[in-house]
Amino acid sequence: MTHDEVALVAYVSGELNPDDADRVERHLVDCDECWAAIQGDARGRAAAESLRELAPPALRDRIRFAMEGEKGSAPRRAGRWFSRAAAALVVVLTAGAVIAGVSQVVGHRQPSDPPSVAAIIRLAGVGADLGTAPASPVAVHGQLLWVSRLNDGGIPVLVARSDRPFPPPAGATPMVTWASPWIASRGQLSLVCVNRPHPVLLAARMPADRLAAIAAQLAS
Amino acid sequence: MTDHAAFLDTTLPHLDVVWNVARRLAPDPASAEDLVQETYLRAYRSYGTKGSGEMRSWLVAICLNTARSEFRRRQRRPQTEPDASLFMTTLAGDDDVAGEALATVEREALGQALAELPQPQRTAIVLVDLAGLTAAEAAVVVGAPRSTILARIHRGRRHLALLLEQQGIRHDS
Repeated sequence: MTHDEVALVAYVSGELNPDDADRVERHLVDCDECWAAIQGDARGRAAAESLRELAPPALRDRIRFAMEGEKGSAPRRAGRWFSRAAAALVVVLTAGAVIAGVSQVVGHRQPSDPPSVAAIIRLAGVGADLGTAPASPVAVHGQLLWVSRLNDGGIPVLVARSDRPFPPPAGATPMVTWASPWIASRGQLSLVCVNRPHPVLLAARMPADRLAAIAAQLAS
Repeated sequence: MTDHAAFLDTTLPHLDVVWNVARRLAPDPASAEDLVQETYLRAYRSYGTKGSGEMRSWLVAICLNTARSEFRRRQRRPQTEPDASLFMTTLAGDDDVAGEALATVEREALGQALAELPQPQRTAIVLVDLAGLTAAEAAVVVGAPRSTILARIHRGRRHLALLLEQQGIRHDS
């Protein structure tokens, strides 16, 4: 066997079959040049492998969160067509209901939540393992969000800070007693948004007044 | 229709692999996080049309292509100097334990030495030694013969060992 760097590195990487590996080893016994090459290869490999690292813990949740934002806007032909068809159907049903005087047929339909609010609702529902410190910001439809979680008596509270106010979702109730522009609920999930000194949206499975008290503490 | 939960279940186990690739393709950790996020978003958009190939290699290929796109995009616009504080944060943020500081400095030197390799060699090493792909998988990702990948890995490793020895850093296997 002559000097064959492909065979050498395949040998070092354990990718040779036993016969070829045996042939390389016999060559290495007599060839100082290839032996030195293999030693250099092994040192370089060890150095490169020492750079392996685990992804930052918050990155997993950042990805999950970004996906939640993407979920509502990902281009999907079938989904978009379905949305249009559903929207058309709603228009027809609504018109029909008004005409027939049975508007309660569509009375429970819930308009879509603003993307940033929808993302927070989904993330709170997933119960993602977020750190207590705000992670790197995530952009949801151009709105930057820093998401963390705190614990209130064993109940996780999702805290999302933003660079701009959170638009109120359908059914939100404006609060006039202090710096909270709106409060809303989705099932068992309460949502409280405070806009001063910075926009913050809290989401948790607890009574809205309890969550509002936490929001007030954060805002003070 | 794309299954959001299934996508995350299938792809998140490979996050460390994608991170290691991104970490060596991006200029700093913050940019690496952005690159990983963009990789996952692009993967999600094309998840429905993905073939039966191996998931890890598929994600790595998307990460590689995303980094290339970003590199070309940046080349087309005026460059700004990288923020030196990003690198200082890594050093100054650690505890002031001498061993840790030395390890950090050594890792910085290692990363720098890897960055100095010719791009084909660096890519081959990142895919095989950092991402854990086989030479055959790396060959598919890069679109080169397996023998070419093996040769690049070998030359890159020896080059890397040489660069490190010149800096007094020696890694024995």
